[in-house]
Order: sequence, then C-alpha cells, then structure tokens
Amino acid sequence: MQKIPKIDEFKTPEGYFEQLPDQIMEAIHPTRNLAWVKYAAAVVLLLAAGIWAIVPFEQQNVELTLDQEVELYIDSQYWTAEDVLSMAENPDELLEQIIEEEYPEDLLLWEEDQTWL
Amino acid sequence: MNEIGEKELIELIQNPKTRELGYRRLILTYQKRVYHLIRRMVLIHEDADDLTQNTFIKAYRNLDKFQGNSSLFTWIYRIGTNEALSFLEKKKKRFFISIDDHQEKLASYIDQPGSLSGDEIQRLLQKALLTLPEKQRLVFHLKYQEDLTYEAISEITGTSIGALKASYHHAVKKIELSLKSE
Repeated sequence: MQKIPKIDEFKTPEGYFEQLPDQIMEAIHPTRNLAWVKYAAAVVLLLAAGIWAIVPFEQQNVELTLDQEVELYIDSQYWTAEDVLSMAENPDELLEQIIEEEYPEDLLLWEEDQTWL
Repeated sequence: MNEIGEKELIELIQNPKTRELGYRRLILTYQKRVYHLIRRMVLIHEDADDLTQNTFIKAYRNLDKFQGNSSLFTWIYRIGTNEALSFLEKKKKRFFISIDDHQEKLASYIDQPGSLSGDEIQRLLQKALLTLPEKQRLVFHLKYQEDLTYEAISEITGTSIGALKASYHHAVKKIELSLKSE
C-alpha cells in the first residue's frame, strides 16, 4: 500500500475558489431578474401617454400639384402607363414624347439583317 | 471544520435572517474538498466546475430536507458524489461510447501537458485509476485520498461497510498491479 503515492491536487484557474461562492450564490438568487423590465415598460407607456396628452397632434396637410399627384399614382403603380394614356387628351403625342425620351433615335438604328447572337 | 463549527453553521443556515451568510460560509468551508473529489472523478475542470456548482445549488434547494442525521459535510459529499457518478453515466449514454472509449478519452486528457501538477508517477497513477469501475474509483478516493472512515463512506455512498472494504481491497490490488507493470 505504501507503494501507491497520494494523488496531487489538480490545477485550477487562478482565483477560481475566490469566485466560486459568488457564482453559486448568483445561481441560487439571480440578481438579473426581469422585474425591472416590467417597471421600465410601465414608465415608457406613461411617458408616451403624457406626451400624447400634452403635445397636440397636428395633421399636416400636404398639398400636391396635379403633376406630383399623377407621378405619385404612377410611382406607386396605382396607374399603369396605359391608364395615363387613356386618360390623356392627346395620347399619341404623349406616346411619341415618351418614346423619344426613353428610346433616342440613335438607339433604334440597327441594320435590318443584324442578328442578335 | 470541527463539530462546533458545523453546529454553528447549521444554526446560521436554519435562521432565515442569517441563511445566506451561513450558506456562503458553508460553500467557503467545503468548496475545495467537493471540487477536488469531483475533479478526480471527472478529470476535466469545466465539468468539475459545473458539477460543484450544481452540488451546492441542489444542497441549498434541499436544505429543508437535511435532518441532521448525518453531518452536513457527509450530506454535501453525498450530493457531490451522486452528481459525479450521474454525470459519468449520462456522458457514456449520451455519446453512445463504451467504457473503454471513455477511459481512453480521459487517459488522453491526463497526457495533455499542464493537466496535472505532478510528475510521471502521478500520470501513471491517474491512468491506473481510470482502469477501475467508477464506483470503485470513488471508494478508493474517499478512503485513500480523503482518509475517510468506512462508516463515513457508507453514509455518503449508501453502501454497506463490508461491500466498501471489498471494493477498496480490489481497487488497491488493481492499482498496485497496474503500477508494477509500468
């Protein structure tokens, strides 16, 4: 039996036993409880209600010009290009104008037998 | 901690006003012994750390069940040894590894530089201990390393003194044989 030596203690990280009681007590009674979240939420709600009551809500009337209104309908895809043309007094002129702006003449020039490979 | 010290500790813990203080003192008193016993069983620090914390947390939550029939130290040690044995059992089941594979894994941990503070004989001793069944290893640690009486070990493990003596005898023989063969 004397041939068997006593087992040495294992190494531990430095300061381990100084921190261990705090870690255990923290696990038993977590200080990071969520009670403060409830109070914080209540405070935020009260503040929001207060601001709502004190500061009058003013509705801003944004006036748009007719052109801006039309653009807004088009941009939001409420109207299609066909809708706009059908509502216009001079659809042909408008169409030509659009084609001219979007597809300049030099872009439309290509050889008749050109192949697109 | 002597008998009076343990009695005082129990009084502190039983008083709701001083319970926290008393429990902190209890941790300070037993943490090293509990940790090192668990560490000898599971070897890896991170595992031993978790299990030591679990031991003290469980003990705190079950303080009302402590009836003073055994010493506080015995009661804490009982929880700690249960934690270590359950952990080893679960680990083997979870990873579907055999006892041999598990021992190989732990043996390779012993070979890692810096895992042990001792010399070559310590390394051989640790490896020899790994060849023992876990409960036999626990009995060896409690008797040989901790120098506890068979009565105390019997209270901790819930095993008869006769069975403990036989277990310890077998453990010593196996270790001696293992060290001789190296």
